Amino acid sequence: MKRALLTIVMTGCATLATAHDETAVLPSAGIGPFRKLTGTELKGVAPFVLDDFVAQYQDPDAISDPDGSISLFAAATDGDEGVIVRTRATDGRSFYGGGGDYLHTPLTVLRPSLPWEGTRLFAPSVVRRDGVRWLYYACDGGIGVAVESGTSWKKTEMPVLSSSGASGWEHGVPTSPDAIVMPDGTTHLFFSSGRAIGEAVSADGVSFIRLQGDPALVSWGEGFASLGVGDPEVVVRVTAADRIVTSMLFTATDSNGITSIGVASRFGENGAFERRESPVYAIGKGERAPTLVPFGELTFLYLTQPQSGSKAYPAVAAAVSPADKILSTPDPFPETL
Amino acid sequence: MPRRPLVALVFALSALSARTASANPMDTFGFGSRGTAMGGAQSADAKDFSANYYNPAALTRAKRLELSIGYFRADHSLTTNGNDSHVDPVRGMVAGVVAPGEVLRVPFAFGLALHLPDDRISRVRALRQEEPRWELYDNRNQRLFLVANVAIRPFSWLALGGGIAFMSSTRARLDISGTANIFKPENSELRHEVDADLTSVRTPQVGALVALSDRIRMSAVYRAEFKLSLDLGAHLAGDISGLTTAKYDLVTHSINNFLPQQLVLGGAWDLTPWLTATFDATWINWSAYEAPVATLDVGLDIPPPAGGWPLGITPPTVPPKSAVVPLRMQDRVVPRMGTEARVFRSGPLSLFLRGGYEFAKTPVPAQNGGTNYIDRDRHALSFGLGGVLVSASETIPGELRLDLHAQWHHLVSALTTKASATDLVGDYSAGGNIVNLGATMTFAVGTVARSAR
Repeated sequence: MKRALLTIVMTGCATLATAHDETAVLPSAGIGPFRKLTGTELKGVAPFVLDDFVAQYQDPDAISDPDGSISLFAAATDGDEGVIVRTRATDGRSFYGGGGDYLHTPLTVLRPSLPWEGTRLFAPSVVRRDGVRWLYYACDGGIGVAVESGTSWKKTEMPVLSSSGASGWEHGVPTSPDAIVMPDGTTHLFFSSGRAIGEAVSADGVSFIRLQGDPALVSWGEGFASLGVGDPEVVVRVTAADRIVTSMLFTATDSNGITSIGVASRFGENGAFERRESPVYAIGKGERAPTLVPFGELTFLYLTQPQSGSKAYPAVAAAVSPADKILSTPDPFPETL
Repeated sequence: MPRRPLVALVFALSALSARTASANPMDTFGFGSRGTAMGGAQSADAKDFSANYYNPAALTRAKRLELSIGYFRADHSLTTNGNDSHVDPVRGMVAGVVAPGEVLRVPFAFGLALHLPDDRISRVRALRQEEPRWELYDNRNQRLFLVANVAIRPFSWLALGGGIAFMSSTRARLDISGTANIFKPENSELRHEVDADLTSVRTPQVGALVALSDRIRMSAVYRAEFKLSLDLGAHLAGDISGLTTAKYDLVTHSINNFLPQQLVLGGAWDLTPWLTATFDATWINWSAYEAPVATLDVGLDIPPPAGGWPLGITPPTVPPKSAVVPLRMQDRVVPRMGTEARVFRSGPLSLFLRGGYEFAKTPVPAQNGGTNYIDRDRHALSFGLGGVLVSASETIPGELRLDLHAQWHHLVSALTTKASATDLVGDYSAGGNIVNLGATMTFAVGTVARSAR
């Protein structure tokens, strides 16, 4: 009896560690933490989804399409020009312009054509207003916008934000725009200037008024964002408690010049941002210029990251949240761009 | 000193000095179908193998040698933001034995009981404190329950009992040494050594049962605190591609399956010969709870190679140590009530209807900070049927009992709102239901023991 009891007890003593159920959908604000995608989750070289030595894709901006796919806009090099390109994936990972396909390239949607733009457009930011996509972009003269019209994009003649009327804390031309249409219908335009991020508001998406006072976000402390913040990416969500939360991801630079991705948020559409004291994505690979997009229960984070081959060049990498989710094998490339 | 009080005193002291046990799927789902059907209000009314959990002293109420075996399954439908949290079911066999007799002419009973889960003996998890989890349901109920008890009845109006339950702490160490070739991983030569140590943990439970009259009984039960610790260590040392050496030490410690001490006061009243009402109030010392979050100590030493690191190779760094936020639960008193009615009796056959209710207010504080230990107030309604068939045989006297139970737990849905807009989990709603079904069969054989007369 004693031996039998001991056997049962010692069998019962076995303690097995088990991972959390990966199929469970747990609550998440969708702003991290993220993990970079692996080789089995991508068609090309992980963690890159846009990767071309000539085109040098960078400054991604992602937007969900009505059919559930993800359109990814990015800056690219085309000869002497900096252009804006667009590509698409049904799974958020298999984009033309990444590895695994050499017959297709992303579609060029915008080129510099106005005198104040210079020769280079970059840092696209796409929003949907009344079912139409608006593409904000940076260039030499400031921030411009183009509105989708059929298969083409129609630019406004003048920048929507330039150094004219700059706040006292700004240094030079505003750049790296990120626009978002708030639940109240206004368009908020966040932009980088110097080592800080500013905010402007518009009722029509064209005529912006800078918010007075301090910038929306500045560098702080001695940690990961001690030297500067920039490249804003703003998302708005309504929580389970019916509260509006505006979150801003950004490139943070520390005193050694090492970059990572941080986040700051605020309740409501307006007001001061609360900073999160640790990055949501930090791999020490020069990551910068984040954009994120929800995809079912996942959130994809795309960002610029140097592709370190024999010659380093910028490319677009991808990461995912929740970080413990293992993604299935990637979908085939989409039939159309 | 008269002999009976002396025996009682010796027994009580030995029971208290034993570092022994209790367990916890039973706290939520009860033990045995009769007890579960009566809402778990059984400390003064248990009279079969379930007394091994509800009140060891009640083992003396068994009339014959009893063997019980049963099965239950509790399925969770717990959600956050409307999404199923996929909390695993708790399911498995329950079994037990009660052997009444006499020692030194003092009525005595021995009991042994077991809950053996279907898919695992025990599970240990150490999740990040930020990760949402149903703290009281996700993992803590995934464990074996094994207990042995003895009970005596020194006076006709007093019974005392005590017992021991067993589980194990885990200590493990992983050593890896050798050469790692980061340029040609297939050329790496690594040696692994795993050393795991399972250490028995025991905690006591004791109980008393007082018969105020033929129809009224009072009870008191104490279950001691119980916790499993998980200590894991890893040591890596060796050479990296001839470039440099590496030394990495990691030690983690966490507490799992914490069961706070409990004090149960209960009563049972036989209102009529065919109707019984029971009540338990269980004080649970949740304020002593230790959250199952691992503390982590990491040491890393990788000196740079001569001439510095090659281009493209960045040496790893030790992640900053995150502070464990203490989980300050609140003590709770859980009321339980039950009733049993004999609704049919004809010859050797009797049939019973049972019902019960329990309310467990959540001990978990509002999770408006960075941690996400999800819990909600829980109401549990239960219902059961029982049948007893008494053997008319003189050669094999005894009875056969079959009990069925159905129990519905409702966790009241509520919102968790976060104080910080930068919270990575954000606001969420949580709530849900648990359905527990089961059956228990008992064979009681032999003549009625003197202790039960």
